[in-house]
Amino acid sequence: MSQPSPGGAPDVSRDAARAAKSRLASHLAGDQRVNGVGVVRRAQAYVVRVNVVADDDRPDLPAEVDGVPVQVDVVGPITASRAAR
Amino acid sequence: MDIHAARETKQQLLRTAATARAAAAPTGGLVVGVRVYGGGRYGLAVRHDGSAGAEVGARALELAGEDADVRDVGAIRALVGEPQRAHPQRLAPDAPAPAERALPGAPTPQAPGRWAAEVLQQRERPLRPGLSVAQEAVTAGTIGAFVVLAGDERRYLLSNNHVLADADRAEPGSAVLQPGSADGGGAGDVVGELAAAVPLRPATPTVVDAALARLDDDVEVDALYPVGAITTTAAADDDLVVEKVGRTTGLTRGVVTAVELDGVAVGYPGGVVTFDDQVEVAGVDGAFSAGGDSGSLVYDPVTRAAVGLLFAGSERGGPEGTGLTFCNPVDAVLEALGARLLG
Repeated sequence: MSQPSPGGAPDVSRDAARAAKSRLASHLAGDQRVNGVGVVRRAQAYVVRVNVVADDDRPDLPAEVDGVPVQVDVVGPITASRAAR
Repeated sequence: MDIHAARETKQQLLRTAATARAAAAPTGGLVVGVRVYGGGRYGLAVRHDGSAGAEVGARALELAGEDADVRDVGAIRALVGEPQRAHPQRLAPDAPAPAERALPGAPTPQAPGRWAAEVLQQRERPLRPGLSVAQEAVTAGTIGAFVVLAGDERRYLLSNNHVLADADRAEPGSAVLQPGSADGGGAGDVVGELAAAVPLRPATPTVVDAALARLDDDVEVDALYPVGAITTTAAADDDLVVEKVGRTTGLTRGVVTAVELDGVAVGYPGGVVTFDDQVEVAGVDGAFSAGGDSGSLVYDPVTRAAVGLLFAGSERGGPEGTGLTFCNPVDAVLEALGARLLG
């Protein structure tokens, strides 16, 4: 894991993003502040997305993993979508 | 331009063209939306009726250049504003037009109201995708699809484990109702029985929340969706425009915003289950789903390929902060159950 590249994110392939995602997901496994680590396309490049439960209680996350930018989205709790009683 | 730039440009257009929009509104002569070109390219879509809205079209060309798709399409209202649709605002004026189905001249596959939430929550025969359904102890979810199994001529209904099997708590053979109990379903509404469920495993990441109900022989089925028959599948890709029809929010449109999501922790009545390899969808204009839409099939309306089985949602997140919807990859669902989609 690393600091952001000077000059912004270079083009990142999907395979590179997948590898970075797997590495970051392993690092975050079991962290209850996180509820998803995936791959997202931004324009012509891919990034790693980390979904977190709360904005004020998020893990320390790198800006990049192996040169792949990391994007964070605050999504709140995720629940099964059946009808409420 | 990307989706974010398209949305911002659309809002800019709407602000600067408010007077022209107001003038065109009474005759329905103007529709402004986000144009989805595919491959991550987005733009503005302007549909107008002759002089009504032409000024807005010109302004769109100034703002978006070659990413503006401006067409004089004649009268618009009758084809995009069916009054009985569950959420007409989501699939009419502000919606992107990837499939071109909302544009004048395109066929409307079904009569207005057929996919409205209030209809989908009623007792309906024949059974069809989108209807309320649930195992007898469960409130309500959605009929995602009808499937068959290898070497078995009987028909099965596909939805989530937490809809048809009460999250592993229901016994095989227990009754499945249409509509679900939250919509008034009872002993007279049995359509089949729980046949199989892929176990939810709280201790280890899983991929699917899926189950099958075997339909009673005398239950008729109409397997068509708003786009017609769906018998093929595809892997979801980023920026893919998708639709679903569900018990609570009816027919809605969204965009795939992330794929291959691991560690998606989902709250169930019995605890948290963590999923890998999930698909994330954001609504195009408002939420893509809500509680009760579980089990909906998520599909590409252009290719008519199924891409996911909707099962969970978040309270927040997404480009508009209206929450995100999560889906199991449909190929994993069908493989886990040994099933194929019934045409």
